[in-house]
Amino acid sequence: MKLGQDGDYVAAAREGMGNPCLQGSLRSLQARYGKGALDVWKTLPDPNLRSRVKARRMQTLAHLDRVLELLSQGVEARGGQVFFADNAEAANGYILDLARKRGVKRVVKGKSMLSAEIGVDAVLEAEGIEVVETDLGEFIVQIAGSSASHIIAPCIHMDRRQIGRLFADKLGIPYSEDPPTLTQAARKALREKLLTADMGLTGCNIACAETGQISLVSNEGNIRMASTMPKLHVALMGMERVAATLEDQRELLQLLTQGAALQKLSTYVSFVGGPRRKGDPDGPEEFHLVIVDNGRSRILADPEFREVLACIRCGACLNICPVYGRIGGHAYHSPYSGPIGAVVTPLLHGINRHADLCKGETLCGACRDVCPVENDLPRMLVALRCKLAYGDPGWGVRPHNRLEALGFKIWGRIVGHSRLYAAMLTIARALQRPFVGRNGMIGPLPGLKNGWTAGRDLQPMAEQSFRERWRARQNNNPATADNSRETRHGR
Amino acid sequence: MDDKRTAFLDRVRMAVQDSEETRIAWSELLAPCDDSARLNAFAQRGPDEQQILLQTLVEQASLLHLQTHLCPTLDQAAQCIAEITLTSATEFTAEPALILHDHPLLRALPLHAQAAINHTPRHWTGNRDPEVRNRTLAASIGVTVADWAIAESATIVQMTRPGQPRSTSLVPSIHIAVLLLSHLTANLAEAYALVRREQNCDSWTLISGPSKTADIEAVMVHGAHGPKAMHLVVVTEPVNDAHAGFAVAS
Repeated sequence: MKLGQDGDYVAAAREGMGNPCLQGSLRSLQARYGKGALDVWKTLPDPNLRSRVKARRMQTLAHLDRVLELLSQGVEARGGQVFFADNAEAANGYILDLARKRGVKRVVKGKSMLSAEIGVDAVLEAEGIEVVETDLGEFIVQIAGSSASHIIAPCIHMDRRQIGRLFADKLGIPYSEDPPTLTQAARKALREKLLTADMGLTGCNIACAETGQISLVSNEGNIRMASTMPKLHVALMGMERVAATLEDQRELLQLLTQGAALQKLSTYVSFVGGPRRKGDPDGPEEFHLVIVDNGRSRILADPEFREVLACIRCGACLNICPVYGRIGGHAYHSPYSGPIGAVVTPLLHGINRHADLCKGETLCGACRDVCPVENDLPRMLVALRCKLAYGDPGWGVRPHNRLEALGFKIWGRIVGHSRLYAAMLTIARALQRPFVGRNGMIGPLPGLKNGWTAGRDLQPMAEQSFRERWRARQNNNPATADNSRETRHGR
Repeated sequence: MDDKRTAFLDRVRMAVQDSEETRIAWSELLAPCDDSARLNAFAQRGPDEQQILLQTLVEQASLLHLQTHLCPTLDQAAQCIAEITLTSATEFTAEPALILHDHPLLRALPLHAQAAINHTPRHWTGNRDPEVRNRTLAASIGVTVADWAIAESATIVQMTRPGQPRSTSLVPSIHIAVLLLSHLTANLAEAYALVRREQNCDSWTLISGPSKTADIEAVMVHGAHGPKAMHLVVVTEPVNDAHAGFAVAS
């Protein structure tokens, strides 16, 4: 899914909540990994690891121009090529041009969210080049014509029966709902693609400037295959995904694999930074690193949001977020879903355009607690809401909802005057009575209020406010009654 | 430097100019890592400590479906590899076939003494062999040497070198790695210190068990794209340094 595909957040959220398979998967995912990651952080041998890594991350970002220069020098010294892409078009243009020049007919992909962000698949396919996702989950959503709904578990919204039918249809195998059988079928089909592709297109988990390398992390081995077997290896890297030193990379790697899946290490971590050396029997003949900005420098320049570039895309915040845990990933209409998506998608692709994302989150703070680099996502969600409320010319944000703003203005006036407020409560209490059902709750209401009441019952306003109850309580207590005699008489 | 790159990096420089006063010096950011304590810990580890690490390795490996085989001598290691070859099912090939890293330690393994696999094709990944790729595709078992292993995560570290390609541990259905016990490190930090000490680390890989996926309903399946099974053969008694064949002695 290309970043910023327009879509209805509410409708997609409803669809997610109505998908029993997704609901079951999300429940078990969150029960295991979200809570698990919190436990890991609590028992770290070095309790300061996360804050120290975060500090190094921010320092690296503060020197990002030089860090990227150093990284590219290292790659080029090894005979690799580095292209700095200002935006999606530039990155896609470079890759397409390379594919044309080398006569590429088939591209195998290792999992890369950036590739989805820039929409490179469609650009290559328009040229008649076959593009094959090789991560099992990504492959499944690709042949299903769907899109990933979790950063590391892309097809979490599909169950084994759906996948079984899909494979019977697309791979021509007998129907099966046995995960090992289905995995074996994909292994066979994809092995042929991996071994015959002309180009491997991967992302980059964490590059290392000191050694001039990228590191690639996977459990399946597809990324090692895609970066080893084809003649060309192109790695796409968001410009912030770089550690200054190998030591920084190590600590980030350990936080990444633990945050993502509670693993001490993923099955494969490979370090590459150039084409095969003379005498090496395998490895690509050409290595191209495409470093992409596509809106990141704007985030970097804003101290309020720079922190979000410290993210290492482990997906831990998805595994704990109560909102993601109900609606799933498709509602975010972006390769980046969950709390991190709710911050980074609007920043990369338009705060007004993705206004629903930051409003949909609860600000409960769980994502901040679980983040391996302690990113304060709730703070940034509030900052985005603030921009939507008041507008921000710097980010090109116009006030999101003038009617809502007017409503709050009036509300602000009312709550500043206690009599006015009390009078309004009395009126509202009277107005709500016809809508209170037998269960003592307010059911679905018409018009504007439907948004609040269509999916949940609303607790009616209490017959007495706290102040009224307090007053009554004081009056009924002999020890305090004297002080409120007047009030009692008044009643 | 081309104009596009200059413009890109200038934009990044502008974006971070506000941090000029608060950021640490460039030399501090890139300060070399002091590995002396880690390297000392590794070099001076006694047999008892090694046994404890080995136990950790075996425990961690079992969690990852990585099968460990403790073999006191090279003879026994060769026998172990023969047994794995005889008992493993083939997947992409009709008959079993071995492809081995061209490494002195593997050359020193007396595989020829294993009569049971005398007829099993054996190929070495010599860097002058233009057929290495095809031989790797035709092999059911890849045999490599672990430069080091990491006990805490049951990981092997492998540097790419001439004659020791990446695909040997990746493309065949079964991967057997041979490790000298003296090359077992405690943790990732120690292993990184050893990698930093290497002259040539243009390409290297950490491998922790067989390939796996849990993408279908979170059911763990081994053998996604890489090997379905991985064996770690640990040679527990010291071997002749010439056989060990490592550029850097432990």
